[in-house]
Amino acid sequence: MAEVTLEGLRKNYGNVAAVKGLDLVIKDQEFVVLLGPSGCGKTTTLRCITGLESPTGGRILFDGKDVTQQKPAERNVAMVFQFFALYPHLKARKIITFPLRARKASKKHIREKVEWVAEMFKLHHLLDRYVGGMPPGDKQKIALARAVVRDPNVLLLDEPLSALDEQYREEMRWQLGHIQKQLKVTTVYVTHDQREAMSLADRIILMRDGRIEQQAPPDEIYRRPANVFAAYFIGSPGMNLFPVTLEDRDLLLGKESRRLPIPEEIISKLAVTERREFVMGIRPEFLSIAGKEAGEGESCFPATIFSTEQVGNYKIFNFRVDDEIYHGMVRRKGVLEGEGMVCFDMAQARFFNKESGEAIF
Amino acid sequence: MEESNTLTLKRFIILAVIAVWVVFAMAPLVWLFMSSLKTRLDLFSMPPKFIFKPTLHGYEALFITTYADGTRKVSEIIGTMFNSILIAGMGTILAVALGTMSGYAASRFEFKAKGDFMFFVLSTRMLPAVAVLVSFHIMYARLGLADTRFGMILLYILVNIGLATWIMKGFFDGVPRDLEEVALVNGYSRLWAFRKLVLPMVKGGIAATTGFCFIFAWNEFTFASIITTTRAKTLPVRISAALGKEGLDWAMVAAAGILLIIPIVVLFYLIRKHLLMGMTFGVLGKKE
Ligand SMILES: Nc1ncnc2c1ncn2[C@@H]1O[C@H](COP(=O)(O)OP(=O)(O)O)[C@@H](O)[C@H]1O
Ligand SMILES: [Mg+2]
Repeated sequence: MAEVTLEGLRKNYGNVAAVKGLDLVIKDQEFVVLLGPSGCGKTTTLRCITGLESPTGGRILFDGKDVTQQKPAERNVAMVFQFFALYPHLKARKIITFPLRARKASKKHIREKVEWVAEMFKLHHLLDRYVGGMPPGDKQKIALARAVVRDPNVLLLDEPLSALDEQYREEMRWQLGHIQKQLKVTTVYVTHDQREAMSLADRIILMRDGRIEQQAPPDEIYRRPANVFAAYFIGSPGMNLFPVTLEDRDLLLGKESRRLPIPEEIISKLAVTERREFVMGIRPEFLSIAGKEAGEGESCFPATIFSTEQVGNYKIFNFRVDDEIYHGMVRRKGVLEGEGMVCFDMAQARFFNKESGEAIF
Repeated sequence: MEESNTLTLKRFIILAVIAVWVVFAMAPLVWLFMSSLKTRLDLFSMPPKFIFKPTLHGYEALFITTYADGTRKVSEIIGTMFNSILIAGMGTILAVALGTMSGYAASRFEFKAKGDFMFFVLSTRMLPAVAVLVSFHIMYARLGLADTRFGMILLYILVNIGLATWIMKGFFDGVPRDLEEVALVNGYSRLWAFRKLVLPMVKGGIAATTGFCFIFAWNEFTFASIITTTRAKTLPVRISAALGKEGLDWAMVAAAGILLIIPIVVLFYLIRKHLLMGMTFGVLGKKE
């Protein structure tokens, strides 16, 4: 168990800067998820922590001790690879004990550890079978068992569920979270799937293009995205981002400048920035449909709903403003398509600087 | 039913093509072998004889020298054969061993000017031998390496190592890195992972590379004809010399041809299993 610190971590591959200066403290026993679109440097960061890749710049510390120059074997980290990386011609038991045998552990210790890990992952029945023919779910269990069997300082997982079927993925995700809390091992989990990140993370580290865009617990990153990238990337569908203009204490929406009635206090807050153009972000669930007429004081505007999609109990409705497609989410039955008024819950709106994309409030 | 019919037809066509190809490939060899067992008379009879009384006279002429005074001695071709086996064998083994290691490094590690380095390595093989022949001749003479087996082994390592590096790099590229990285992370050394995990997976590649390198070293004539004269003379040089000196005893020439082919056949017979694996490596590499 260890606290992991990255100080100005950089990694170049030739001319490609994969990681461009990462500062991050991962607390002991914390479950951190590196989230971001593919190619943003998540895997590279993970490989630097394991020591499989040596950084171009910056330092890596475990519990305050500089391990930047240490070999992977010296760091006592465990890694789970995307495609399991199992030796198909070996039996599960042999694979699980692989790290223990490297340390020349005693027979007795090995037996106890295997028993312990088999119990935890419920894989007794797999121990004496070859992994070659096993389904992906079982393979992943064995890969996980191999990773945790020797009490690593840090557990690192690179998209461990992406090779599994949807239904199995959910189950493994739940198990993984549960086991991490049991083991109390510092964990860094890499994924491009924001739902996985939302459900597993103590803290999400949202990355883009080799940099951290925001780091926060899931609910905070969801409610208070630090910039338009975070706003759009998190949530399915992501936050709606409307271009808005402030004009004489009126908020105008889109190119057609539809006037949007909104509370006076928001106007005041926007006015102090001395800017005119903003991006207004609002999650689909804070949009609703108000038939033909809007009530007094509600922030509504007329729109044509061109399609809907049922997701469980909810219905996602799609509409356009200036050719951009936006989404709302309501818990309603019946036909929604057609002309109507789309209303915002303005208390939930978030405003971003149009140029920098940073959140204003 | 329909499907199985087309299947058998397809099978038949494939087999037929293979059969034709085998006949084409084998006919000259069979011809060579028969010629090596024929008398001068049978050799030139028209139409060619397929049934004849075999004689070992061609082989006798190859291995035994008859002097003008009638004394017969074992020809120095035995020594030449030994030279060839030693030089081509050692040259191949060392080139493949070194090429395997450098191929691994080229596949797994980044280093400065790697692209240039790899191109240079390959370029050693692109250069026609004649272009550097004179320089080698002079250099070897000055270094005292001319007409030594050691010098020839060095030379064949040099010629083959580039090819070996490139072929082996290709095979290592096909081995997923994950497997050795798991070992590294779990407390094993790079060397352990290389020997125990990676090498067994490229056995086929090593066999194929050995085959290529050996054929080249075994057949090499240009360098050998200039650099060796007596002590380190190799078979191709010796046989071509025999052609000029002793006139055209075609049975002997055919016997020499057979002699040249045998080691290659033996080698490929020994490595055939791995070779097949090497060729289907693309498929194997995908399995995790
Ligand atoms: N070994 C490598 N050689 C060259 N470029 C690489 C290498 N590994 C990763 N990259 C590049 O670095 C960037 C980040 O890659 P990666 O860390 O794998 O992203 P992610 O895991 O977030 O998808 C990408 O642009 C990728 O092409
Ligand atoms: Mg990745």
